[in-house]
Amino acid sequence: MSTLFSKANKEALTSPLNLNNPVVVQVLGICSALAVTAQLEPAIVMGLSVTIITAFSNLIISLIRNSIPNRIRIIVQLVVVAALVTIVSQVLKAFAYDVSVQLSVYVGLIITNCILMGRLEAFAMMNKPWPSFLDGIGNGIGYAIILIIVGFFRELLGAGTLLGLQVVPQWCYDHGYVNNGMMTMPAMSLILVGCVIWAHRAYNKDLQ
Amino acid sequence: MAKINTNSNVYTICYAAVMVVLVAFLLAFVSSALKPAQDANVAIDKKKQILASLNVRGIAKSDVEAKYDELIQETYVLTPDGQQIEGADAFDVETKEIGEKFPIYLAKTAEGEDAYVLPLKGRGLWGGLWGYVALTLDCEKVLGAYFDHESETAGLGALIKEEKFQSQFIGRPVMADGKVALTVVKKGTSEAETQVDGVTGATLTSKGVGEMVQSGIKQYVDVVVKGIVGAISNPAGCGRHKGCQKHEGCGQHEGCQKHEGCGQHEGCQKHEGCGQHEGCQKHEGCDGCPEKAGAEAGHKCKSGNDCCKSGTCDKSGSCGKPGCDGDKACCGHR
Repeated sequence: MSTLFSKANKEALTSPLNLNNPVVVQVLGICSALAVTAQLEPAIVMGLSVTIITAFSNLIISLIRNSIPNRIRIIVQLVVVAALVTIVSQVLKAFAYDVSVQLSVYVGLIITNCILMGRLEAFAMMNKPWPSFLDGIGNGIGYAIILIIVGFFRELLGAGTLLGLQVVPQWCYDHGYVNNGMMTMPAMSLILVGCVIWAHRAYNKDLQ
Repeated sequence: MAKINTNSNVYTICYAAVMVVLVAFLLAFVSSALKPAQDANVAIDKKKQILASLNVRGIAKSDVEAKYDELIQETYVLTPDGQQIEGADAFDVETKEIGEKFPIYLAKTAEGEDAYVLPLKGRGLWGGLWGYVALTLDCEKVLGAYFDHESETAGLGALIKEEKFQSQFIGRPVMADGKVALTVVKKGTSEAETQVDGVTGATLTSKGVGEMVQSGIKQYVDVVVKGIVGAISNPAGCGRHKGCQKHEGCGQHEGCQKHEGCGQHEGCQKHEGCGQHEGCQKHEGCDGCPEKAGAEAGHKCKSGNDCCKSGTCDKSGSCGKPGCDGDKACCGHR
């Protein structure tokens, strides 16, 4: 176990959660962060799906990294990612139909998520399978965390609910509180991501 | 093992070819292995949606089949001419076929009321919409509704899928001034019972739902009126739905002409002798025989023949008007 979780491996897993976060530091995967964060639940499922797919595409690409012809490596990466996404989407349709209906097109759009290509190019192509797998999980979770933070605030302030349950009590509305309709607009998620980046940099002085 | 040159053209082409074939086989295998499970899910989901329009919501996946069989009494599939397609199950009609075929479910709601469930299709902002509305048998009132969408914005247009939006439809009247008036309007601008509040921030999706409901129900009413004697052959059904009540006796369209004067069903009997419309005038035998002896003022004959056979119709068995050549014809005249 000590070799499985050596310092370098731990680093691969944990650094994307904070100092090397794919969304707030590398600014990748912003488009899907806009699309699925109007509510908390799709944000969570999307984060989970991306985690699984980054982990396994990293693993597969890392396994075959030495055999990939250099000139078509991006195409090979895309084919692997697309095949994985298709399989995940088919499995969801067969065994978790409700979730797959809820995510609808966004599952397919994972293929175009820049985090995937970014990690494959930057990490899996030059590292061994196990660290690549951990790196995939770390980056997926790092992405999921930001999605969940943004989704949390957008649903709470925009609709007064969390996971579909009413959390802002009725007496607030009776005293003149209104839901902020702006929060349900995609543009607000950019502003929220900006706020998260601000807070993150204010806390981590060395990123400034 | 000799190191292979991974940058040569031959290697690259072979690599790409092998990879594509492998992945194609893998995906084809996964797809065909999971297809039965997926199809079953789709069928159950459709049944669930139909049940939701009958106000049966939130039931477990395993109970869907039983509940569906319990509540759905009969299904019809009509052609655009209103003819019933024999032996067709409305459930097998896919959403995209609506417009070429008109599936109708005869069902009971959760509250035990009889209802027609009409599947609808329309367009939202980003993609297709579909839904099911349950109407009373006279198509006057909404008993329940369910809507769904392909790709409306999560948290905005997607809210049409929520019970909160759909339950607004329950109890709404469908018709106003003899037209299908049920629709969706911008939240807060509703002026009539037939106008349902839309979703805030999802104007185009709401509009799409309104359009779908209004034009969809109208299509069904038109189709059913066209085939009034054919498909839903229950004669009582005729007089009971909006299309008929509106046109009853007008003699201007097929459904009416067939019934005019037949005196065999409710619609006709009710109006016979009212003298206000064409179909009725035929029955009003008395007008043709003004001199009828012993006729009280305002007396209505049961039929033209009665009048003339009473023997007091006219001189020489004819009403004396040009072209009248017998008892029967007499009463057709005025």
